[in-house]
Amino acid sequence: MKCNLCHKNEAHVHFKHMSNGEVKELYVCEACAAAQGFSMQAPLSLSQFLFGPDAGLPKRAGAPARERQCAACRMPLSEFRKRSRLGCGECYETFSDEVAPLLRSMHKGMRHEGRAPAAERIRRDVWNLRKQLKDAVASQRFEDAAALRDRIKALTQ
Amino acid sequence: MILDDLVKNPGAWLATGRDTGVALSHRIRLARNVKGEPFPGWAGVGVRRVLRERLFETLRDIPALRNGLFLNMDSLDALDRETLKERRLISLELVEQDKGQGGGVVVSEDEQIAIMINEEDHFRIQGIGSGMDARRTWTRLRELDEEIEQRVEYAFSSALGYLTACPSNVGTGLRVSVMMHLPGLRIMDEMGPAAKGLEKMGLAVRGLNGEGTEAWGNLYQISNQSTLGESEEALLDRMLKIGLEMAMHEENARTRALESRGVSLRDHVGRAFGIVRHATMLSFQEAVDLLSALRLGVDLGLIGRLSVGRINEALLLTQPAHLQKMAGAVKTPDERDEWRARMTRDMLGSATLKGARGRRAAGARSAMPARKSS
Ligand SMILES: [Zn+2]
Ligand SMILES: [Zn+2]
Repeated sequence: MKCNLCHKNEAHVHFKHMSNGEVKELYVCEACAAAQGFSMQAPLSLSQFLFGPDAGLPKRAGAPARERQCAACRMPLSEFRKRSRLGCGECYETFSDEVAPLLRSMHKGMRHEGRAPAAERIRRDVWNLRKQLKDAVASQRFEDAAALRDRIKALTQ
Repeated sequence: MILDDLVKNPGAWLATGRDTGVALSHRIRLARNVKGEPFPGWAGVGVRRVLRERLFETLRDIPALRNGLFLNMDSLDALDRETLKERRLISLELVEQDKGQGGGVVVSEDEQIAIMINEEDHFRIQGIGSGMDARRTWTRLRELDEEIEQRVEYAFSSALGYLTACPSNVGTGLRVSVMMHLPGLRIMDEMGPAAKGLEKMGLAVRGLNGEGTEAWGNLYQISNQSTLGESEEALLDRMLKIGLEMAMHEENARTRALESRGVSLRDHVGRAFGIVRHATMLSFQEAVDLLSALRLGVDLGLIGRLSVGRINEALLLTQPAHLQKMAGAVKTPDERDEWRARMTRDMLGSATLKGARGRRAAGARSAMPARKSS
């Protein structure tokens, strides 16, 4: 999920806020959280985040902000640290900074080598063929280009 | 109850008709998860149950599993779950009452495929075979994986491969393990260094029911740890090479043991033979150690008229839960030990202990007359 403020970075900080009986949520990246001058560990409310620490709201209106958690499965970072197990596939993205050093210590490499689901395999093949097609056109090998076009067409139908 | 039929058969993977030598069996497993679903350890029991039913439905549709067993952990009693574990079809995780809730297993008709549902991952697709014929098992597993993939969208990332609950399985999700019988290395005090060497190559070495290089019956499981950054084919090649190499080291150690420690080696085998022939009570650990010694005796030609396959079978069937299931009314541990002693004695049948070369005339048979099996 992208940051709700800069719409650029991946959102790793999740805030929840109760207002008029309604839960409002905000996902922001670490950079935006830091730019607002809030440390990640400190409990925060959405109101404080948006309107500054002195936001003139009743003290108990803001639920304490949660620690970083996965937007898809809601697993908090502390849970991952405790059990060394992720909550869902998305967690790999959410906690990538925590997972990367583990992967480095556990595995031969850092990038997947090997099989992929058919859809993924086709995507890879099409990508490679398109590259070859570009080369063929650039070097005016039109017969090759035509053959490559047919193969791409067959794969993407 | 279908499980009661299961226990009467030796696991097909034991291939009782074939002498598998140093490598008893191999196991290959793929860890897979369903995209968009929380991993089992983070999902609640209710979510796990719903997903299990959905995945059972999916798997029922696959021709290769059509006559398979679909077992739901919630409705199996403790003895049934333990029996499945003894047959290496499910892991401890599914045996445990609370963790196993919402879990299941699908076993192919020939017992060479077992798919655990909602263990640590949504799918643990396992292939089990005898000896080192892992290529055939892998082909079967890969075809099955493709069948499932046509029906379920897997959690996958092009950078990290198949996404798993534990980062240690991410990538191919592939673990290859070989169960090896290594008494020669143990007798020559070379198991420690060998295990260290394997660990340096990034492999895990675990003794059967033991710690470190201690293992019941000198049975060891060797498996890979890394799953990221190496293709399935490359890993399989590597594991097969290591398995063959270990088998060679073992054969070599046995030859040297016969030369330098021949007398104590014969004593080891002969004692085991005598105990199995005459004991009236055997604990499980004792039985494993004795069967291991007999296996070595058969391999070295010290015991005649006994096949390695029968010993493998006895290793499976004398396990506590199997025994309990077959013995039925047998309740106390003592009764179980009695039953086990009878089973191993029957297994021995008309086997004979051979004397040292050249002293054969004195005859192992006359010294140790073979008893008729009951
Ligand atoms: Zn941002
Ligand atoms: Zn998650």
